[in-house]
Amino acid sequence: MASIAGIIPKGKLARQEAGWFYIFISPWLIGFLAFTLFPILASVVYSFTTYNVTEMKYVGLDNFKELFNDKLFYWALWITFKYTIVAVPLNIVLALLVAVILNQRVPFLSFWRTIYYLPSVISGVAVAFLWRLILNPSIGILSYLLTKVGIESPRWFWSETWVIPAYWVMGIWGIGAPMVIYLAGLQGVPTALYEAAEIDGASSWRKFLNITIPMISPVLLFNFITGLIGALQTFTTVYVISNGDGGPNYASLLYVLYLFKVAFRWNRFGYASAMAWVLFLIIVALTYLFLRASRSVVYYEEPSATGI
Amino acid sequence: MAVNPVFPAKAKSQKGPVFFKGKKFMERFSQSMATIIIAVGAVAILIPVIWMFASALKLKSNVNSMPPTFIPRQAAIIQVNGEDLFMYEVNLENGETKNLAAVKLDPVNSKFVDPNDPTQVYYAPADNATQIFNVVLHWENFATVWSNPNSPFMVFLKNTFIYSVVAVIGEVLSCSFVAFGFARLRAPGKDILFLFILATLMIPYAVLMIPQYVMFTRYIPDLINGLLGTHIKLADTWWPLMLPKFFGSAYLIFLVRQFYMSIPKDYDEAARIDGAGFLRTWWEIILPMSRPVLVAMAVLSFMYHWNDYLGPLIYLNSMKKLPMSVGLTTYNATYQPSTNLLMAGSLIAVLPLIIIFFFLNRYFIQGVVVSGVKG
Repeated sequence: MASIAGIIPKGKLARQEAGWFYIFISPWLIGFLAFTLFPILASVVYSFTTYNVTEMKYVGLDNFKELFNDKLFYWALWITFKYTIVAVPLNIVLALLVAVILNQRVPFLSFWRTIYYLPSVISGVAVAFLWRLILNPSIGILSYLLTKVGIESPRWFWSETWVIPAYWVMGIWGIGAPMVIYLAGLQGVPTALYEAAEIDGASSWRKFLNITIPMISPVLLFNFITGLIGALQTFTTVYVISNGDGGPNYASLLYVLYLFKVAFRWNRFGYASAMAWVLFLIIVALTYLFLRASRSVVYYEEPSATGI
Repeated sequence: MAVNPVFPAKAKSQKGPVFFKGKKFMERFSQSMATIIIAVGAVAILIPVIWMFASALKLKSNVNSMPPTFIPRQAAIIQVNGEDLFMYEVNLENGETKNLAAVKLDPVNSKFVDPNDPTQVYYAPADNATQIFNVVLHWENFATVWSNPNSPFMVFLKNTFIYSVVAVIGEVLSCSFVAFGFARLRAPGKDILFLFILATLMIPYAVLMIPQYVMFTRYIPDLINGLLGTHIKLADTWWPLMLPKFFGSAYLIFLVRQFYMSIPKDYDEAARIDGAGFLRTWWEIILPMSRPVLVAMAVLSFMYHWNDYLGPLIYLNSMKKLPMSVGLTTYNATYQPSTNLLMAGSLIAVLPLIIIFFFLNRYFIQGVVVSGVKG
């Protein structure tokens, strides 16, 4: 991009090329206007109204005022925070650990990689049912194993205290996707760096800390940011496991689940749109914050092609 | 940090043979430790999948049995004089071991009979007897789920398959087409439009789902009906789900564009000299060279749409239109199936994906890698 920015040629050929550019991007442009930009504008409008499918009344900032007095809104934020703050770090750290171990010239690498990645393929409804069975306090295999080693199994999805930890545990099963990305990153680290460090007598730990981590820090950041955005929007598993209620007693009422209920159970589209914009602001703010904070920590070998 | 290519080998040999041997040992040791840890982890990862298969093949009463068994088995039962009796392997006092049917179990003096000759009665303490289990795989669970007349799994599977295939075709075609513009052509306004693509990546589906729903179920049908005097409805149809796939997805456009950027411009120029237009350059030069990223994209898209739940949940409600994901939850909610049947149903839902994954797993991994590292 950098090489052609600002050098826009003039003349008939250039006009022709520009014409073709717009022909090529027309599917996206039309789609963007119709399925993204228009909905965004509509959503902004809805958030200032009482829209409920049948009637729409302008109410100014009332939705936002109500939102900031809505106990369930704060509760859903808190539950989402509780889920994210553990699930994301746990996931990316474990994935990194497995990737680093796998990278120790373990034989049959691609075989292991396939197995670890398998759960990420079958995410969705079936997996939600499977984990509801595995964590069943009376007949689940994990509960049985815990009892076997002398730990009284918590009631997981059926307990207000343990339902979010149950989702943390379940999340570990999905480390395959970030792990595969780490592995690719690790394989791109030049071995010369390690050899040089060995000559200097560096221990494995020092090599990990001073070579591996800095070299794959962009990948780490990528996994962290995508994991964070994904976690904040978790829906399917909670919806399926709690039968759409976020139970027991709202203990798993994640933000998007609450939003879904407000919109499609109670038909409060205006209020739900306001909620959606709050979520958007949170995501943008967090992403900006972490990208900003990472600037001094993350090591980029060369500026990326897109300039971000 | 640059390494002089001559020195590393020399530096190693300086440390002397004994240390060198020790180091080799350490390397071997840490490598085997790593393999063991990975293998243990792999077993842990696989247990839920195996558990799913095992549960799907069990009898209803055996799913809940404690301790849990991985092999679907059930107690051997035999009919003796019109009575159903459990079979036991009994160590008799004379040292013999026989398979006998239990008439009465008692800690001290249990009564057993020989099923082949019910007149033969044996007595033994219950501790000397172990119950006999047979491995029975209840494949009929799948048939039971499959043939449930009120929740047509065949239709669910067909719908999911069509949705996934249409979405893959739509996304691969549109994204590879649009990306060509962004990667290869120069035009005023291009940079700002590309920024829009990146910005779209930040917008959560939660923001778009409500206005999109209203648009597809009210505005668009109202507009069309108003103009043409028709009575079409888009609620409870696949249109709102499939149509947008043909207009590109920001994420995949970005992915393909990154790949196109890595193809030297010389190819385009050579094609131009040969008289090929941009369309032909895209179709005949760039597309064939981009096969890896196209396959990776197709696989990512297929996987996403196969598992998609929220979209179909919002738009569809009549049973014969549901995809597998929503169909499975509906089946669970309406029939409260026993665990073995629910697991059989879940397996039907994921098995096609698992099979495809094992055949194309290279491309799955590639898809993730491309999306992660290049992004």
